[in-house]
Amino acid sequence: MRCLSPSQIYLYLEDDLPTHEKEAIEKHLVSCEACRDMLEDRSLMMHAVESLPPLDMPADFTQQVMAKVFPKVSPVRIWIAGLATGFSLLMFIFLAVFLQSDISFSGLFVSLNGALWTVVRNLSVFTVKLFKVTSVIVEILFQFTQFVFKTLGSLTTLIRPEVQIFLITLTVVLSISALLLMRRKTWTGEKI
Amino acid sequence: MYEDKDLVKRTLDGEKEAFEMIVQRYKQPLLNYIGRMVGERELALDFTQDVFIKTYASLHTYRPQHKFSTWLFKIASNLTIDYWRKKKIDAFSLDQTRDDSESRPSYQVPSKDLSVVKRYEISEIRERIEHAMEKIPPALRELFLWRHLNEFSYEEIAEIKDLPVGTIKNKVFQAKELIRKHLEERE
Repeated sequence: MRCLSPSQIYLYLEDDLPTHEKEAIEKHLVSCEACRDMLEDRSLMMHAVESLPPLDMPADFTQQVMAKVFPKVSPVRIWIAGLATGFSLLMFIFLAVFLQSDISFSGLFVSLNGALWTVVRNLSVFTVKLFKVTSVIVEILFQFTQFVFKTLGSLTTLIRPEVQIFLITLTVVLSISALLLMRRKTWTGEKI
Repeated sequence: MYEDKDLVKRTLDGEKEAFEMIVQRYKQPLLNYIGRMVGERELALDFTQDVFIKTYASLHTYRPQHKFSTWLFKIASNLTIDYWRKKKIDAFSLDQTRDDSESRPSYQVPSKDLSVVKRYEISEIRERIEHAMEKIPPALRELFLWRHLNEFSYEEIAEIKDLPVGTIKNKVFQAKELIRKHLEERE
């Protein structure tokens, strides 16, 4: 047998030859040092290739891919989509009712205008009433605060200073204790 | 362990975890291939990510009679071909490599220097091989990587490239001898 060609060597290394050819090569290798060297050289090269280290992969690569493939929809977008759907549905119902009824287009505009005006008028009246009620509540609160201060002022003239200090201390201690208890219950998840 | 085809079916049924398993399984083999094709790590990571995005988008076109890994690597290959085209290098024409004298080693005549590799430590050989791979035409490099790094069979590579098995074997052989030639040059 003639000396081996590189292609034969690679096929031999990959075990990709018919049995009789493989046996002939093995027989030749026993007696040919040059071919043995060539085989060893290519074998080393292929071993080095097949043991090349993997390239560095970031630890969060899978998460990055998943975030791109399945992007999370933001709550704002859900709200916008919801509102758009609601509005579209409303328009659809409105159109369906309009098509089913005998109302003319101009008649529809007149009644729509009337409805809109009623809404604006009622809203204005409601705002004025709300403003009045708020001012009355503020007035009551102001008078109540004045009353509390006056009462406290007259009490200090009646009670002795030592008793006053004791009462103030007691009130502060009780308030702090109540606050601490509430905080603890909140931390531990208990219902207050 | 779940088979690829089961994972594809489950993904198509809306199971995100199944696609996550596909990503876990193929991210490293894909990066090993793409990284050595484009040469830049960050770009390779972006491309690998793009391969998975494209895979998910076209998962409904996958036919179970084909091997999933070959289908996935075909997507990756198309992406790298686009990259080389954008770089205005027609590096993926296998016909071109046939006529290119630089890429055609004199493979029927054994090299005079019979021990190019033997004299180095394995770590040094690996480093030299990485450099040598960068120098060979990408069309040959791709086939070489699939065969010897991704461990595809010649038949699977032939399926990916839609070429005869004999052609693929010949090209992989050319790639090996070219790499060896570049190893000699760096002496």
